[in-house]
Parts: sequence; C-alpha cells; structure tokens
Amino acid sequence: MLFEILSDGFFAAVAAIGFGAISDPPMRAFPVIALLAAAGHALRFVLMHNGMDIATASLCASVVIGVGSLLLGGRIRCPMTVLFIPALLPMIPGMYAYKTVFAMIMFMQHLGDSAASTLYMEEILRNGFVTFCVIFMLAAGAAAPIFLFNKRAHSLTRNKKYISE
Amino acid sequence: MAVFWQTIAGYNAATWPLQALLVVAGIVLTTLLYRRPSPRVKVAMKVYLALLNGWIAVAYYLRACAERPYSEVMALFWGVMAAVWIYDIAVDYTTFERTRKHDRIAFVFYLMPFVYPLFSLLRGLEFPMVTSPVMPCSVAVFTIGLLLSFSKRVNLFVILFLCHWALVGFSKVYFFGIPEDLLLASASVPALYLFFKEYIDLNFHRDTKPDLRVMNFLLAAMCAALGVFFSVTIWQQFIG
Amino acid sequence: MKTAAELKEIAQFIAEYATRLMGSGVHTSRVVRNSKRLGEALGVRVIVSAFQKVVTFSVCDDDSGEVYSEVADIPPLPISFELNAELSALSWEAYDRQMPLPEIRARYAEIVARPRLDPIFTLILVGLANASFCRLFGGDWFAVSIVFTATLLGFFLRQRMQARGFNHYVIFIASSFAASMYASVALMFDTTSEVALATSVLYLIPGVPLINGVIDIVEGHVLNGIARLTSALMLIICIAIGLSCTLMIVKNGLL
Repeated sequence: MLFEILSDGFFAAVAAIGFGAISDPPMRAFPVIALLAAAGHALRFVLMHNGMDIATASLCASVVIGVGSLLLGGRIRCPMTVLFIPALLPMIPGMYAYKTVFAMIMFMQHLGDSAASTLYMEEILRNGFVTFCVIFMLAAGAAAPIFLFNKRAHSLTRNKKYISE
Repeated sequence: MAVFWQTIAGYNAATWPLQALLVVAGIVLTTLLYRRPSPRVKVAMKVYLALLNGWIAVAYYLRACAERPYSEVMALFWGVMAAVWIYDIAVDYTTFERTRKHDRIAFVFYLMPFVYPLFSLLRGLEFPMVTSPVMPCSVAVFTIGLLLSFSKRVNLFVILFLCHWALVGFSKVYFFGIPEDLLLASASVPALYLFFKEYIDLNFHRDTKPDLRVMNFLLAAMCAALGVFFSVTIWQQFIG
Repeated sequence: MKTAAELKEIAQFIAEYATRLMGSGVHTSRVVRNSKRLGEALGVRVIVSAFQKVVTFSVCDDDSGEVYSEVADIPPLPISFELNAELSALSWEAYDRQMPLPEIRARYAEIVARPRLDPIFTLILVGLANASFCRLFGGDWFAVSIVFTATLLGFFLRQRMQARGFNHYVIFIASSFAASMYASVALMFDTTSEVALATSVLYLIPGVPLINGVIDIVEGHVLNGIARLTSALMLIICIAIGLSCTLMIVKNGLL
C-alpha cells in the first residue's frame, strides 16, 4: 500500500513537471510543483481508496494544493497560480473525458437503434457530468485560498522585507 | 502468430526480385552518398527513401499484409513517412552533410537489415518465411543509420517516428514472439541518445533555460528509463 | 505634479506591461492589481478595463486632475509563468523601493528578454509527463511506452505548427489526431490500449485558461472569465474532434 501511494505520488510529480513545462515556469518553481502534485494526488488516491467519491476527493486534494502553494509560494516568490495550475493537471479525469467522447461517437453510430442509443446517452451524461464536476472542483478548491487569504495571496512575490508593515 | 509469418512468406515469395532491386539501389545510393555527395545524389537518396517508405505502405501493408488487423493504419503511418520525405525534397531540409562522429555505429546499423534474415535463418526458419531487408523494421534501422551518419541537420519527426516504431517492434517481441525485432529496439535507444546529444551540444550553453547540466541529466534519465524498461521485459520473457 | 508628457510616458509603459501580462496568460484581477500598484509606485492612479483582446487605461494625476487614456491590443503570446512571476515581483519592487520609470523600464526589458524553456527540453518532459499520466490511469508498461513516443510525435507536430503560425484550432485538431493515431498501435497488442488512447491527447488540455477563467469569474471579471472558459472549451472540442477522427478509424478494434 505504501509503495502504491509513493509511486502514485511519483508519477503525479513527473506529470505535473511536464505539463508545467508547456507554460514556461521559472526553473525554481519545478521542485515545488512536483511536491504539490505528489502530495495532492497521493492524498486523492488514499481518499478514493477509502471509499470517497472522486469529486469530493479531488476537492480535498485541490484545497491541499492551493494551501500548499500559498505557503510555499512566498518562499520562492512565485504567484499561487504558477504553482497550482501545473500541480492540478495530473488530476484531470482523463478516462471519464475519453469515455464521454467515445460514447458520443457510438451514440451517433447507433441513432437508429433506440435501446443502444439510450445506453450511450446515459454513458455520455454520466461520464460527462463526472468530468465537469471534477474539473470544477479542482479549479474551485485550489483557487479558494486566494479568496480566503486575500492579502497574503496577493503579496507572494513581494520582498519579505517590506511585508511586516 | 501464424498470420504474421504467413503474410511475410507471401510477401517475400511474390516480391523478392523487386526487393533485391531495392536493396541494390540502396547500396549504390549509400555508397555514392559517401563517395560523391553531389546535390543530385542527395535528391536521389531522398526520392529513394520516399519510394522505400511508400513501398512499405503499399506493397507490404496494403497488399501483402491485408489479412492482418490494423494493416491500413500501418500503411497510413508509412505513407505519412513517404510524404515527409517528399516534403523534405520540396523544402530541402535534410542536408545529408556528413558529421563523421558516429560513423562506426552507423555502419553497424547499415549491416542490420542483412542481419535480420540471418537471424531468422539461424532460428531455423526457411525462405520465404524469413524477415527480409525490405521490411518496416529493417527500413527503420537503415534510415536511423543513414541519418546518424549525416546528422548535421535531421528531421526530428522522422527520428521520433522511427523510435515509436522501435517500441511497437519491441512490443511485438513480447506479445508475438518475434525476437528479430529486438535488433531495432536495442538500436533505437543509443540512436535517440545520440540525436538528442547532438542537438544539446549545438544549442545549449550556460545562458539557456535550463542549463546544460539539467538537460544532460534529463536525457540520461530518459534513456535510462527506456533501457531499464527494455531489459526488464526481456529478462522477464526469456529468463523469468 | 506630472507634465502631460510624463503622464503619457507612464501610460504607455503601463499599457505595454499590462498587455504583456494579459497575453502571457495571467488572470485579469492580477493584471489589474499589478498595473494599479505600478501606477501607485509612479505616483499616478491607474484605472484599467481589460477585455479578451484589448485593454483600455486611464492614468490620472490626482494633484493636477490631468487624465491620459490609452488603448492597447493584447498580443497573442505563448503562456509564460515566468513572466507572470517576475513581472509581478517587479511591480512590488517598484512599489516598495519607489523606483523611477527608467529603472523599471530597464528591468522590464531585461525580464522580457530572458530565454524561454528550450523546445526540446519541453518536448521530452511532456512525453514523460503523458507517459506517467498513462501509468496513473492504470496503463501497463507497454501502453506507457507507446504513449511516450506517441506524445513526442504529437507534441513535436504541435511545436512545429505553432512555429509556422498555424491557426490554433487547426493545431489542436492535428496534434490530437496525430498523438491518438500513433497511440492506437497499442490496439494491436494485448495491453491496456484504451488507457493509452485516452491519455495520448491529454497533454493538450488547456489548463491555464480553464483555471484562470474560474478565478476571473469568482473575482468578478465575469465577462473575461466566460471568454476564457469559452476559448478553453473550443480547444477542448478541438481535442475531442481529433480524438474522434482516430476513434472513427480504429473503433472496430475497441468494441
């Protein structure tokens, strides 16, 4: 079990680094991105393993990532979004999204067959809804600390010398 | 995997004179490219490569291997490669300028297409049911060798595709039990390393982002991961 | 007190600064905040209204009551977190140390001139990322390796097409088609080919506009947020179109 959690965290970290690299982050942000992604994804893995549904687990994980980016962002002087957007990407529900697209195609192929098309419509709705919910939860959960700790979140890139006024 | 070997046998029996012609043309053009690299020879080489890839797409996949599932998709891939070479002629991208850095390994790669049938014969297979020098994997190995030898300016898309092909071949080793394809798979990792290394040496210095050290580390990590994957799988299949 | 010429100079610099930020994929409220802060550092009040393609500014000098307005186009730049971080830090530094305009301008030029991540470095990282993504979804090692090279091919195509200046949507359709097509060879083998197909296109997901859109909406820039979400949705539809083309070709192998 511990090995599974660790490997889950490791692959999430690699994925986050790679997806982060597309958006050209500063080099100093990479270790933090990897750490946040590993922590968030491993947490979601554990929660889902213990019977929590994917949307709630994603929300918990994304809140952890958001708070983590708030705490670590000041240290390396990076805005929160720079850290948490790449860290969230490994949690995108790719399989659900894929199944939605696949069901859409199959639905179109079986328009004449009402039993099969009902089945595929149900698939579309089910998978599409999960995809939407999870993505929304991810965005909302990670962005929540920005609104909760407004002042601190807005001065992460400020030199520490001047903050204590 | 009976269908696999049957289609190969049919292909060899039907086309061996043409295959021999293609091999001879390949040898002549490669020698010319080393001895007298004139612009005309370079264009001829590209035409030959386009022809070769097109041949694989049409004669091998569409005609001979029509029984196999997914042969159309494979034909599409090799057709795209032929198109890439025709595009290359049009924009004159690959310069075929010799670098002399990887000559030795390139010659090993040139020999590979002929090692393929030998390997089959050594395994106790008989003509026409053997791998031949004009088959996807042999063509891939030949192209990699050629590009290594003239690696001044290569089309990375070709390299990436051939490495992709090597992985497909490697999966064939594992799932279908065709050990010939190990040759291509084991050749692809050092080739990938050398091509990227060439790029790094040219483009990276201290002011780039990231610096040279990080890039070298990433390249080493990638090749190590591929190497570990290959060796563990082989070890599992043949020893474990 | 500022002269009209000074005011104009400040407005033009802030316009360049803010459009650079907007173009590099920074959410609207941060752009507004940074511009206001920069204005405060220079002793003027800045009022910004940002849209998807254009930003309008008014720079007011409260001592003299003088107002100068400027409208600037947002250039379509690639997303850059580095500019986001460094330019935000610049606005704080200007504010805290009361830097004069020429110094800020020099620092700005230095930051903007820094090199982006090398494309080949990004290429390899993205390949590894998508491969580990495949692993996260439960793909076996063959699927992982096939997704790795398929992603390299797809992302390379995207980079080349971007360098040639192709239309955004065309790029997304083409590279998602290429990546999923090359990943579809997994169907030949007894492996987790469905996972391989599904993950091969995920490197294209426009995460930055998606999350920026949500942040913008929550922070009250509803119009901008919806605009961002709409463009992200368009890109996702393009990914789906590319993937569908592949699925239409190979779907018999999936049933």
